[in-house]
Amino acid sequence: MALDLTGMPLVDRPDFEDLLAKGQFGPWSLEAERMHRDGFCVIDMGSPEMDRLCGSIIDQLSLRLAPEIAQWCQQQAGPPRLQDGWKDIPEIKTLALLPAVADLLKHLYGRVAFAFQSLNFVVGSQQSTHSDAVHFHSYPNGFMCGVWIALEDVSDDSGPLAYYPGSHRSPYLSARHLGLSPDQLRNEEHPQLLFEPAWQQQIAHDGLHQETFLPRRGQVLIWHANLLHGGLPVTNPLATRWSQVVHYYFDQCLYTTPMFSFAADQGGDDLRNPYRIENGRRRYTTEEWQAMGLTAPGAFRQASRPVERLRHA
Amino acid sequence: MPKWSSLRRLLRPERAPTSQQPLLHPLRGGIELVTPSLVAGWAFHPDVLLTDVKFLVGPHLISQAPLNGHRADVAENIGFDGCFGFQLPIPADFPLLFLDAPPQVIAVSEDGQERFPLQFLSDPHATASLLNQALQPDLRGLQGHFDGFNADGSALSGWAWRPGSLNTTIWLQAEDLPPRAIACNLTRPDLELIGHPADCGFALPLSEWPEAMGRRVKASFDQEGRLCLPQSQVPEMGFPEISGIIPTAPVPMEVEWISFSPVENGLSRSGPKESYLESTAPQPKLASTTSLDEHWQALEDFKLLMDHLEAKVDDLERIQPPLRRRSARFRLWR
Repeated sequence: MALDLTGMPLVDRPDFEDLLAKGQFGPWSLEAERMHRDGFCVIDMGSPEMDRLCGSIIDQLSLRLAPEIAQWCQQQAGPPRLQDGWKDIPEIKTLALLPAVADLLKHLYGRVAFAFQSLNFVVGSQQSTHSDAVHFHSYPNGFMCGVWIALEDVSDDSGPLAYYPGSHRSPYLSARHLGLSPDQLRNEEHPQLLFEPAWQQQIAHDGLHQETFLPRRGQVLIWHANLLHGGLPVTNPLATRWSQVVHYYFDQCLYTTPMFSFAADQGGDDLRNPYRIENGRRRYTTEEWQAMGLTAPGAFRQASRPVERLRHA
Repeated sequence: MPKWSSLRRLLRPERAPTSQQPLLHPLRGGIELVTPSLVAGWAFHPDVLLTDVKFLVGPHLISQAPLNGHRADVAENIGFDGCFGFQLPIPADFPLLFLDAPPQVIAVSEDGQERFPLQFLSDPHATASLLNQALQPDLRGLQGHFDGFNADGSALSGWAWRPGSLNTTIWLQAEDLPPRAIACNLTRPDLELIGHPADCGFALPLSEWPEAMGRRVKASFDQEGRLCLPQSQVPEMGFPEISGIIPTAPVPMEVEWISFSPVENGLSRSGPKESYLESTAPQPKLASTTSLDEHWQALEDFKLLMDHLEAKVDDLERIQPPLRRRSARFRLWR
């Protein structure tokens, strides 16, 4: 496996307009323009088959997450969710591997994408505003994206997804860029809190405005690695917001956790060896990893996940 | 001068991509500069249209750049006009800690079929180790420039920094002396105008390094002195060309680099070939003890003797000896 550590996503390139004029994005030109300008695009995958998949996932997770859902309804726990349900629920895996999404991503980024993580939400996540590129990113930069699939129609009292169009153009952040030390990260229960002032400053500085996503079942939002987004507060605890998020990486890159990536003398970058949902294996085999001359992935062991509003409110 | 791009097809028929026919001529050019943020040089092949240069570590592509730099000196050298120069950036945020595979820089043909390894021009055997050194995590991404003497000639100055790094240190190297670490934290508003942080300058007053008087001096990113800061002539000093001097210490940088160097990234685009630069700057006020004066006098006499010998060599080589100030005690050493 040869890495290609050069270049950037096509939608981020300075010659994007030329690429667009040359028809580089094929049938996805409108989506490419939106991704380039706003940092996200929306496609409608609604169909009877999509309805069947969404319904099946909701039915299965309603049973599986019943205790967590009950606790949530009694305000005794945070929003229930399931990470990497693709491992044992075939419908989640099917949604994570939608061929249309893979085709769109290949056109917009110029490399082959692979899904590496799924998250299923029952209600609004209430995550505070963040950029995914702090939790997982790539080298070269930008070869990561999120895909948000509505499993049901979303109402505005359910804590819908909110985002800041144009925020994807802000600088990528890491612990190194903010001058954070490993000790600072270790001593913070929710390390994302250390990054939030920088994001809020960016929003104020650039005069960014929040938009809300109120999709119908089967609508899919694809967002740029650096798009600032989060979940609005849930105003009706009985309102569900069934959704599935899939995170994608792209081929021939190195994969990192910038939240735990420090200067060289403090341990350097935190490299990841993500799953490839398609075959259920790690992206690189042990042999490939060693052949690339890489250090072991995940040198800094600490959970990296967006913070829910309730936890630090 | 004829343009290579238009003459090439007339002079040499296109080779089939899979042709096993041996090439008639060797590649010309190579790597002229290796720093932790840039590999630069030129490449030309009479039989093959080269379009790109790639930096590989094992099978992994680290950096690539087109061969698109116009180099009048190269055109003069090969007799064709064209764009044969390249500059390969080494990114500062490159995330690998260790690289087990051997690094190499190759020039690639338009169709990707022909690949030519490029070597460091002044020391081909050192190519891999220099490239390796440039990729070391503690150096990777460092950029800088050794200006030589400052405007009033009282200090050695320059600048260096690395994106994402708060503290940068470079090393001043004088012949036969231990390297001297210099922090790059001096505020220089002029640097901001050319896209660098304003507080990445360095300056060492000559009076603070008296033991280096009379020695050649260079600046390097690494303590060992292998990866030198690009160094340009200080225009107002009118440093002359000094021919025929063989350095007493290894010189990691191709001497001809300066004459080929592009202006971007802090590199110079000086006209004549430079080798060692001699100061015409005002000299520092030193301790006025008798013994020190005698010491300097002895050095001055020795220098005059050396100048005399050099002039003789120049005469033998039919080279016009350059104008030189006899009082110089510091030399900038490449």
